[in-house]
Amino acid sequence: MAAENLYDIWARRNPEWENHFEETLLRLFTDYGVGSSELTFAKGKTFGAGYELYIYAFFIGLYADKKRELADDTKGFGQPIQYWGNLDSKKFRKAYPKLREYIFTALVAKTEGLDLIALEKGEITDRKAVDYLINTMEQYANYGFHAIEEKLKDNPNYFYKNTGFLDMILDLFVLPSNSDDAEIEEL
Amino acid sequence: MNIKEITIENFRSYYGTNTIKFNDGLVLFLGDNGDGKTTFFEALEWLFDTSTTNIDSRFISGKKIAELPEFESDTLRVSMTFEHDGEKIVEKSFSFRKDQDGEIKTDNFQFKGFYDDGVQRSPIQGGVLLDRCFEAAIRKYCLFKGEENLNVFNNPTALNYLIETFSNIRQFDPYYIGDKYKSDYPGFVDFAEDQSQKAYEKAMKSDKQNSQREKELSSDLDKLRRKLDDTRKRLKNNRENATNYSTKLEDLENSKEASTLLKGINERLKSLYDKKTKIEGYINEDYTIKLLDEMWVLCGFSQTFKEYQEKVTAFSKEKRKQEDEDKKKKGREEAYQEISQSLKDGIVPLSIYIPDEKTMQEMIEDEFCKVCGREAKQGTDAYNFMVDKLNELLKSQQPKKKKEEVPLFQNNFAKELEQKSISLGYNQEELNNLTNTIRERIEFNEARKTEAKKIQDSIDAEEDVKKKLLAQNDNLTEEQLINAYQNISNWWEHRKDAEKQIVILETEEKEIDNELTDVQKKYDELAKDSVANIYCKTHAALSKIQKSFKYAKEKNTQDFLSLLEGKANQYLEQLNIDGFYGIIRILKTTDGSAKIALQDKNDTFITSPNQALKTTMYMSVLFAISDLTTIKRDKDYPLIFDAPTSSFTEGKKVDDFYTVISEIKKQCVIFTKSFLVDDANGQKVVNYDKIKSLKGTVYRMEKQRPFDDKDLSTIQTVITPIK
Repeated sequence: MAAENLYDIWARRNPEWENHFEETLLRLFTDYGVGSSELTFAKGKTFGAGYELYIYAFFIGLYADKKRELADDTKGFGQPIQYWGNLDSKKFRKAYPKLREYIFTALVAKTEGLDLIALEKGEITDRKAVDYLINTMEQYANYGFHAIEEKLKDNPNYFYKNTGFLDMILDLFVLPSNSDDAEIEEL
Repeated sequence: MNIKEITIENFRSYYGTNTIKFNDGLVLFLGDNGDGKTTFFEALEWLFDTSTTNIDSRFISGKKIAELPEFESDTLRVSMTFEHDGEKIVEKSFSFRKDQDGEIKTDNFQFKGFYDDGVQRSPIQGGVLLDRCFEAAIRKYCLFKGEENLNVFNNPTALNYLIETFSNIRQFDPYYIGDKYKSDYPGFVDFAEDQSQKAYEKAMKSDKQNSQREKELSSDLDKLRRKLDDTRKRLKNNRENATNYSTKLEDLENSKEASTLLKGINERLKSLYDKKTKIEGYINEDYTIKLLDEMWVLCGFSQTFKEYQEKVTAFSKEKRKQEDEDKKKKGREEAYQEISQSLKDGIVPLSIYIPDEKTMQEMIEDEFCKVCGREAKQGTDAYNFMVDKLNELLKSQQPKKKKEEVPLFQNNFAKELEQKSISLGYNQEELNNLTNTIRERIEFNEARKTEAKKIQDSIDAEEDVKKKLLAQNDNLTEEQLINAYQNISNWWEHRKDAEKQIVILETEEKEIDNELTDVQKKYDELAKDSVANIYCKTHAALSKIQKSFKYAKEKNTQDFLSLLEGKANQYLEQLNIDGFYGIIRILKTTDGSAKIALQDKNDTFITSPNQALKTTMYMSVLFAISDLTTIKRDKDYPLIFDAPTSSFTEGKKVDDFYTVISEIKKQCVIFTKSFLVDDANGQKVVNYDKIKSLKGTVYRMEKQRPFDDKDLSTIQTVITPIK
């Protein structure tokens, strides 16, 4: 039997997140829990489906390079990763399937415990390997969610300006440029 | 209903008895100003008024009064013969009498009706007959005086009236009203929903188990319901305010429409607003959405991707290295095995086939080695040697199985990961450039905002000039002028405030509504394990039924409006044969009234269509309504217009307009001064050439000559058929 792609196995999964974010973040910024509704814009929500905020939170964790273990009480989304960003049918929105592949590469890059050679040899199963990837994903996103929550606590209106979510991302990755400079100096 | 004949006797300029025959289709009355067009129309209005007894002596013909000897009496009468399931007559009249001082007294009001029951003519009260055959709801959409009254939706309640009369939504009333402020009598479903909710909450309260939580939640529910109620009331108020101030300002503006100065300001304002809208159209600040849709979120990704590429490269390299070593190792083992087999104990053995299979079996059976001539009893080394040798021979005769080789790497994920590294790597440049793209977009938006702001400043300045202009009036003192300006500014501000409030309150309404749904959900959760569950389910079911009634009612209204719109547009197209006409939209406003608007095919609203276009638009809607009444009542009704086309410039446009109307299959009575031209002496005469092409009946209305234009008692309208 031909082995399946690691990506496909990963994409069929539903990453988990801490339950309480449903109230504090997902319902606030996304359509989560509203059902399939085309009224996103009318409601003034920032994101569409719940996973969109999850993706965002993941990138926050990734760029901050900070992970956070999940508390016990968790749940997943209705849609597995493979459907994330397929929103062609939604008005005013564009699909972004490629983003899933980038997330996947980030997980491969950042998952330290995953021994790719052992996986290739079959010493660990592909499912086990994907467990490692999902774990990284969940922990980055979890950090991101907490960071967003923190930001909101400081300033409840932060995300209601148009640049709110963008700024939070930009603030994070502008910093590493200093270390680049340091490297150049060393050279 | 079809009008067959109208008789007007001694009604204002209609001296004596005047009987006019009506045909189907277009009936045109041509007359100049003061020739009696409006009087004829008003005579009909008087006849059709079934609610009052109006015997005002001012209705009586001046000429008749002048001629009437003292102590004698005469009659004022308007009657109509019409076809409506058989011929019927309705007649209104009163007597008048001149007393000794020459004063006129009126009495003996009569409103009679007759209908043909197949055998004989039977009398009936006129108002009853009229209301039965030409009900008030329909009359409302049949008689129109002047051009400015053609917009049936000018009255804020007109739309609801129309919908309630001609669509099917009244059928919902016994079951669903919805708005609790609207009626004291809720529909059945409203009532049932309300009662089931009360029963449900009562059951919840009596359940001791959850009493604390129930208290909390029901108090939350109460608070939210009150808040929602309050918000809705405020919203309603603000909507009314916005409409009121808009109407006031519009009226003011209409009264100064002729001012060229105002026209100039309005034109400049329009172009400024257009410009601003255009510029604002370029602004797209959906940055959050772009994080995903445009993958801006990858703006910091290049370092991570680099790590990925390095990791995959290292992995692939390591894999190849191990594979290489493995191959080498396996190669060595194979070679060793071959050699070790051939060199057993350093002695080269005999070929495997010597002795052959048969000989070997014979020797084993005989327990004797016939090669060396010695005994080899079972169990001895020699015997075992022979058995081994035979087995080896037999094995060698079997088809040779290739030695199964276990690969070092069972999977090939490396290939997949490398392919991703390459395919995504192509977009690296784009990723690296994302920061620039984002910065450029933000700068672009900021620049547009600055531009829009500048235009807004100009708009504010122009609007201030406009306010001042609107405040101006003849003979105002400086102080009055300032007051008037202040007043208008206040209206302006109030309108703006109300509009702002509406936006805020609408959001608030939605938020409270969502919150309410959430708390209700929790409340229902609580009910699940209690005795109240059955009440909860009943209430939920009734709530759903109520909602479906609501949607059905809305859908009905929408369908009705679409139907009306569709029909109106068909007429509009017919009435404007070759001119630009656009698309009629009947817009339901948030306060429940309606607006007729014109749109071009790119969905842009035409804010100020010329009067002729407006008239055609309104008339199209009227024809459409008339069609709907026909469908609803299974009967046709006449449309009667007094001077609907006064703003039309004479010429082809008017001719076309009437040509089309004459071909519409409706009894359409129009009083107009179109088709009259000045002759050499400045007298109005009929342009017969143009009349020729019209299908229908045409009458000429004129004042009988000679007359004294300062003496009413010399005025008499004469109607003569000319076609």
